[in-house]
Amino acid sequence: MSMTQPAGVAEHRPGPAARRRGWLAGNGFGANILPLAVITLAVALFLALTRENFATGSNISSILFGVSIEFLAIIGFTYVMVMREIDLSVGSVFALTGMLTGALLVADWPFWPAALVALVVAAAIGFVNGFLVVRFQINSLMLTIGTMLLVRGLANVLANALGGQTYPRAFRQFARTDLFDIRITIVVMVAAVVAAWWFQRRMGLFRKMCFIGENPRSAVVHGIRVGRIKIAAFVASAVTAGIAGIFTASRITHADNQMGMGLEFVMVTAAIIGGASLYGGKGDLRGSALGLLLLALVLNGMIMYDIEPVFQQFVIGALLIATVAFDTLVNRRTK
Amino acid sequence: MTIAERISMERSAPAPGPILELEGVSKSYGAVQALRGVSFRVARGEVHAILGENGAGKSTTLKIINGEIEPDEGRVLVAGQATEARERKRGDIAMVHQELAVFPNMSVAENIFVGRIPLTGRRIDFERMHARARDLLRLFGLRIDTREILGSLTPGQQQIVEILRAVESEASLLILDEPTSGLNNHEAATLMGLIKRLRDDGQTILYVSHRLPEVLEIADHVTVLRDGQFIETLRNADLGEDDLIRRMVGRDLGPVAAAPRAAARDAPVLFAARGLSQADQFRDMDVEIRAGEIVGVFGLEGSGAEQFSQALFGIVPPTSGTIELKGRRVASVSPAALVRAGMSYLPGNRKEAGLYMERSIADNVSAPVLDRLSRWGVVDARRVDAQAKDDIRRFAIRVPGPQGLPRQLSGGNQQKVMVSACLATGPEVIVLNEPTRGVDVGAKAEVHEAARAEAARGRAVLVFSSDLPELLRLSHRIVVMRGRRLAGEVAGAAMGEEAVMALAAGTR
Amino acid sequence: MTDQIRKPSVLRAARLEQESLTCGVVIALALVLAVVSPAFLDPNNLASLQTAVAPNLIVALGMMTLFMIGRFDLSVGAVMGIAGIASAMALNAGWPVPLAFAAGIGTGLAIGAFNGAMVAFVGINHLIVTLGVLYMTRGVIEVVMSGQALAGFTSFPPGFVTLGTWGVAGLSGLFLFALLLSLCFEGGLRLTLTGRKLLFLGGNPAAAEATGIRRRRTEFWCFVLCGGLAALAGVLMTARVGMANRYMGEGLEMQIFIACLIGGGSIAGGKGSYVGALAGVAFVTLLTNAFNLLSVPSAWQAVVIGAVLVAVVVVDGVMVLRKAGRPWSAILGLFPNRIAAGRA
Repeated sequence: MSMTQPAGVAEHRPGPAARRRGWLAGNGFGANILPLAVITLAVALFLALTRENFATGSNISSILFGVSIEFLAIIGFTYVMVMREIDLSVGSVFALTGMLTGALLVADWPFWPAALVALVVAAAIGFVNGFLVVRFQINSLMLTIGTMLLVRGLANVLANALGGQTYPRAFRQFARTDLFDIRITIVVMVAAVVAAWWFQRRMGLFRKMCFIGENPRSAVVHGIRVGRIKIAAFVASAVTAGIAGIFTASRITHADNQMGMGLEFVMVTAAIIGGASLYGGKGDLRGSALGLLLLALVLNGMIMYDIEPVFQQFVIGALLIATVAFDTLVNRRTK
Repeated sequence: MTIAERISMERSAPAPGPILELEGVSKSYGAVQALRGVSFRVARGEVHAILGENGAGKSTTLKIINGEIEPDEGRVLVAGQATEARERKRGDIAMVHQELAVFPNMSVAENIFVGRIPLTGRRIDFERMHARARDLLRLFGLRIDTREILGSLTPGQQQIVEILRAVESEASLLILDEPTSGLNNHEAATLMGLIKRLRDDGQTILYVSHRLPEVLEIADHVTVLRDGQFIETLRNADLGEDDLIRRMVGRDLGPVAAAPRAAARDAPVLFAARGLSQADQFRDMDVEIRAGEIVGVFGLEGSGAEQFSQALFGIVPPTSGTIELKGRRVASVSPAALVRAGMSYLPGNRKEAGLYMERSIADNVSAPVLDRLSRWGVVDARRVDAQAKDDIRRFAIRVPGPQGLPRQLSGGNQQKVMVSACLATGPEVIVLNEPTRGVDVGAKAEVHEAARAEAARGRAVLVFSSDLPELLRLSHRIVVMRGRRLAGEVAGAAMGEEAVMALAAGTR
Repeated sequence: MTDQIRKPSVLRAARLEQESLTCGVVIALALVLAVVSPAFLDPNNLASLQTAVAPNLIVALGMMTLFMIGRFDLSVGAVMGIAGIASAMALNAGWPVPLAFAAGIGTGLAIGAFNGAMVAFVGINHLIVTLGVLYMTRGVIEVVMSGQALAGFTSFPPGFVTLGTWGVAGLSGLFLFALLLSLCFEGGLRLTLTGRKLLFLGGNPAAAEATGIRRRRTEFWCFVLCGGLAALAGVLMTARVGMANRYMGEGLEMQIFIACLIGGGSIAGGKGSYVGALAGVAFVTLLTNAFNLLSVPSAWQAVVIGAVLVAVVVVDGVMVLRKAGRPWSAILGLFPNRIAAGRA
């Protein structure tokens, strides 16, 4: 960590560049975005140069489409992690919301009311998670394993009731909605990343989240409404997972009880690769997006190289351990 | 030192071969000199008390004796042999720390015998363990079953069990560091009985406490430390509380900047706690602070002062009573609500709360006022920066710039960052906890100056401190807690170390 | 005050309070099932219950050991799977039965050692490590089995199959073995120093280290043990069903995790017993069985288990707050920060 400003109190007007560097260096905020982006780009370049069917429009857009939907779900999840909590119920909420929307549509509801009801259900689950964690000071890992099972059960009840029925045509087309000739979710992802950049740099709320994650006791003393912000983040986590679930349900066109299976673990991996920590105080939505993208590229590359696609789980696991081990060892040396 | 040593030798009975001898022991932490040439000796089979105010060097002395740290200078002799810290750590010195180091999930017997569980072959000999534990408990008049799970006992009982663990180890020197701080009167009396019985059995005990009646009751000799220096070893014969207090106090206060006593008697009451209680922690606390007043709260370990400070800010909400801010009753006692109502709190332990070590100074000092520095939720970076620079200048915080990290700073500068954050909201009621714990003299003066300035601007300041000279210099009056209750209040001409100590430690 | 010293109840002294509650629920559940569903006491059903309990119990013993020191292992299900496959492959390659058996167990021990080394010596969070290992192991399983039919490696020598299918007086040998194993573990926990050390370590790690217990080393060996037990369960189940199944143990980690929690463990450490693991596994198994017998869609089972887990966690949280002296109004009230006026 280098201090970018010379010693002394007298300096009044650092140039904007110095200030920006100071902000980056001082907070570790965004510090690992650049290396991560470089790595991701390098992987993409390598694949583009060595495999001719990688850099095709259809391949790139299918990768981005997949990533963009998962990205929707990781938005709230990342910010829950910033506050040193974890929400393992995202995968289940994702599945339940998607299937509930589909089920309501099968029952001839119009789309928007159906989606709205499903999202309200998701929000309620998120609220319960957050409320229980805050009020009873429960370990969120344990609690959300419980809600994960509970909600997964409900989703499967719904899936069984639907019995593999395909959703109405209009809904099946929903995920394929285009905006400026690009899948709408990709547009949303780009917009969200830009928004996240701004949110993380400028919004007081994000700073409060970092404060809470780094030292909850200090945050309490400083009058930050820790409980409320945590509950809000759990609600956000459930709702963003729900939105992703609705898109996914539309994309896979029918109720599938495998939907969102293991999603929570993909997200932990992507968020940690993207700079979040289980010990809170850190996290970056741009990093999470890059983490998802990197995972998708690696998996896609493996297919390109005819490596068993089933080997992908191995790669996710190895990446997760390697990232954290690297982080742990580096931190140990600097401290 | 030599004079003192001679005095001590004259006064203490020349026991055959002291079990422990300190010769010119010094220790410093960075710039802070914790101990300076401390020498005393502990005879076999006596109860030897070490007495001193907070910061007098008691815990450093104990750590050196127990082999946890190595002194910079001087020798420590055990049974006449010069020893290294490592040897003492392994040797037969057993120490009971102030903080509980018990296993709440295990039985009483297992807690007593941990590390020395009796075995027959590979099996644990439960019969022997419980029988011995039962004997110990009975011997010391404790009505606890040995199979009881420790976590279900009161903190006082847990403390006694921990002491029994040290007793059971049959070490030749037993060190008890503030053993009664967590005990109620009945439990403390039990402990006194226990110590007397141990002495009768020939056990040597080094006893650290600042409760004078206890010390007078059980100690054979009393060694007084002050400001890291050895003052005197007294034989406990015809000693009174006053004799001890006189030797404990009288620390070098430096230039006494008498606190301005301008607080008008008819200024409005800004903060009042009435009948505030918290289950098992403190009862019926009443405090009133008027605008422009600095009120000190003093209490020794276990007096409930720390819990009281946390309760009145809602960190652990009190169970009953009322809190009034600016004459209005506060319905919901939570830190967030109190901050918005114009109160501010400085946490007592920098390492635990108050700072964000990985965030910049600017972030740290702006944390309580983020909303104010934002418009529609968007932080105005320029104002954050400006505020940080203001604070850095105002408190003369020695940092490279607003983007420096707290962990790169010295303790004093960290403390100043915390105080800046605490005052950032422009609060009308300010609660300061140990405002100068572990900081150098310069930073201490600066923090005091800041507190006085706030009072002069018509704010109400409540200072909790275990540093009595600090309170005396800073406060207009001092509220004293003892035994989890209000013990009394001293103000005006009567305000002196002896008067406060007599309330806090004595029987009056 | 009377002269009598208040004795703790037997259950409390034995630290079996939650365990006995779970046991009671299990017995009640069994009784209700016996009454409600005639098929419950059917020999076939009883046999299938035994084979369902046996492997889960063996895995739960390892998990409970980790719970005691405040750790857990999410890779157990995958380890179970890969150990079975390793044995099957070894047999397929013509290895003698004992060697093949050892190959399976060895795989589990090695994975456990990796987990343990990463957690204890490198210092990575156990959730991350074991989650990563879960993925890696599943990946390896998929690769190994990719050329095979769903149930590859089906021809085992009879000596191996017997390992899983033997029985005594109509009781499944596996079940008896698991039961015996858990009793041995319980004995070790209660009677030996090694067992007590686990609980000391979980109860107060810093104080335990100060009394000479080696935290890192103990942690490492607990992970090794957990991996070994999961492998043992995997090999025995492979022998029992007579084929290497790539789906064996999938999702098992969560079931075991919950069984241990319900059976009195705590992820904070310092609590738990092997009898509790038995009770927890029995509860989860009986619940599954109940859903089958009453032909309720199996999806509801997850709902119930999840709800039970949430309830256990919440009640535990409430008890902790109560013990810290918080009044009920602050725990359950609508306005937790309001305080009662007046003097105490």
